[in-house]
Amino acid sequence: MRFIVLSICSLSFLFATSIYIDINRTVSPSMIDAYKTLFPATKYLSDNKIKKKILKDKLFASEFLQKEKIDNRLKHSLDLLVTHFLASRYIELVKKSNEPNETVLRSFYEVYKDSLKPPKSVDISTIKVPSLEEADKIYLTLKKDPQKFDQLAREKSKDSQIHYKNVPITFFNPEIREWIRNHKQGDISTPFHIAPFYYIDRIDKIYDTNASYESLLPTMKQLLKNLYISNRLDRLYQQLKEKYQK
Amino acid sequence: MRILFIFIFSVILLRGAPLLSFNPNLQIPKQLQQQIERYWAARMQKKFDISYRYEIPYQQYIYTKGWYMNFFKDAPLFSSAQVKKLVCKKNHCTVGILLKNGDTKLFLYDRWFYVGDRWYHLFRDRALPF
Repeated sequence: MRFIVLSICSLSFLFATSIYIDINRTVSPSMIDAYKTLFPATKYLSDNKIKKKILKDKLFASEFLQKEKIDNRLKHSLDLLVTHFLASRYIELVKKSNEPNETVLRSFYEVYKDSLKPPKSVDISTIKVPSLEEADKIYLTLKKDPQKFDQLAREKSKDSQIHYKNVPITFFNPEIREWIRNHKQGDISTPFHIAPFYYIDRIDKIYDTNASYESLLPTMKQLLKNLYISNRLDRLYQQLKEKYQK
Repeated sequence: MRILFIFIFSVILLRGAPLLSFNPNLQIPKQLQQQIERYWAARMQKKFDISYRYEIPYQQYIYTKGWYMNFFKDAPLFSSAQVKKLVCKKNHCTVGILLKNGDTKLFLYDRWFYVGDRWYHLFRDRALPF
């Protein structure tokens, strides 16, 4: 009986010692510092408790690393990998807690409303010809009688498709884009050369895009949240890298 | 004696404070002028925790105060500034400021936006490509 009790006691002692040694071997003091930086609420916990938490996270970290493709440069360092994992968990927490409020969104809209506006789109008709002489000839005829555009397009164009509907202006090359921006519905262009053909275009309709605060709200929310998170992540990495370098 | 003491004390205070002046020909909205004065007083004294409060709300949302202070930590020190130019559109003003420190001069354009009921400064960041 005494022998059994003694052996149980010694086994449990060995087990506890091995856990203690394992914890101390695999968790470096810099990782504890990193953990405290990431989760400020843990600063009142004892180092041993934090070590246990880190070990638990390490198990998850291996799963996480399989799912996410981590930068190869980081793969050599377990500490950095765990930090990466912890940071991503931290960001998850941040994601849940912070939504941009009305003032933030309104100010962002005031600054970026023109840039966030979706591109204009147009209905456009085009005549495509192989030589400049022919293009000039058609242009001069159209200058006298713009109504002949459809007829000439059917007769002379090398392309079977003449009318294009609702095309975003970003689709066109910069020269044509500029021309569309500075002209109105019904205007006919001088011949554009896009090798090997020459094109004469007519604007049939301009669709003005909506850039109201309400229409841009989902885009702005997403953009701001992404920036918010990436900035915090960058800052964390900077802080942690400084610590590791020391 | 008391007057002399106050005089000496105020001279000491004023010597340390950076100077911000406005071109008298400019017609600056009063509230904007006040904000520019406070903002640049803080910036010139490198009190970035104060100038942070004047930044536009979306920048305050994206950037933490720590990040902001770190971003400006190497900014040069200026002892005086003069608002030279002002171009205002609907709720947006561009302010041309000349900063001086001894022989060093720097001219820059500052952008201010009226959001809600006050003017906010927009600092140049590179977070967005547009």
